Amino acid sequence: MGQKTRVVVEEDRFDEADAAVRKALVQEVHRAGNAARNIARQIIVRDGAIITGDLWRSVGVEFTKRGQAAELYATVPYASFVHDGTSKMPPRPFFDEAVEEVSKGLEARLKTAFEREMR
Amino acid sequence: MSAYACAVGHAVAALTASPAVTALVGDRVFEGIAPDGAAYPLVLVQRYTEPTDTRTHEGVIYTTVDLAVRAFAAAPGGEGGSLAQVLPIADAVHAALDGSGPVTRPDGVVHACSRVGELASTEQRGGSVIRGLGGRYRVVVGRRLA
Repeated sequence: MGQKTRVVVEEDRFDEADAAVRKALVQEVHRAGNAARNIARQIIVRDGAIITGDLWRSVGVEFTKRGQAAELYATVPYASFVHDGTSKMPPRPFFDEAVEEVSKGLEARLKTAFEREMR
Repeated sequence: MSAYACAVGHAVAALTASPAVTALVGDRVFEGIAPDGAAYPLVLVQRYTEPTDTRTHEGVIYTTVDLAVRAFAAAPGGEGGSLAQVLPIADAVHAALDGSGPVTRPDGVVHACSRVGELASTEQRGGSVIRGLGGRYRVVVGRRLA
């Protein structure tokens, strides 16, 4: 049972943008996706969820074809148990924390990118 | 003052004071993980994310603590049975916790406690399917004024 989560720019906002703005938004989504992956890996280390390193290595990010969304994933079958916890193990929600961290500045950065391209 | 201890203390106290919760799980409300040999169903209060301080140069104003509070129930062999068991407990937990506060405790003040998301889990242990159902509760903890 792997684990997945998404960082996404709203579809209608993306579709309404012209090519230059879309390019800037895609760059920001790429930056946020990669940052979220790195933060998720740091949290796995911080929370002591690294034993073999398999979970840490299995954390990755992929981007949709148009680039408006980033999807974080962890492929090891026990990822969701570590992330969500069980009755015998507390949660270590590395994706939730990572997405919250990158989301803090994402709206402002997307706005800046949008306004820069609209000038 | 430990904001985490205060938040957990508030959650456990609110749950054990709820007749609806205790009618369903008795005194089986635990912090952290289920003790060895504990009977199901039970309720667990667990740390979800790192506590976050909001502060000025003079000190911490309040601390936000996110807790995972879930009911766990076990059913031999099938997921359906355990979900049916866990659902009313999760509802009782929600009624006891969501919107609770402000509460003054010996170790601090719980200004607010509210659910910010739902949590569900499934695990297999000893031939049983154990379902967890509950929520992520955000507890805002401040220092107790003298």
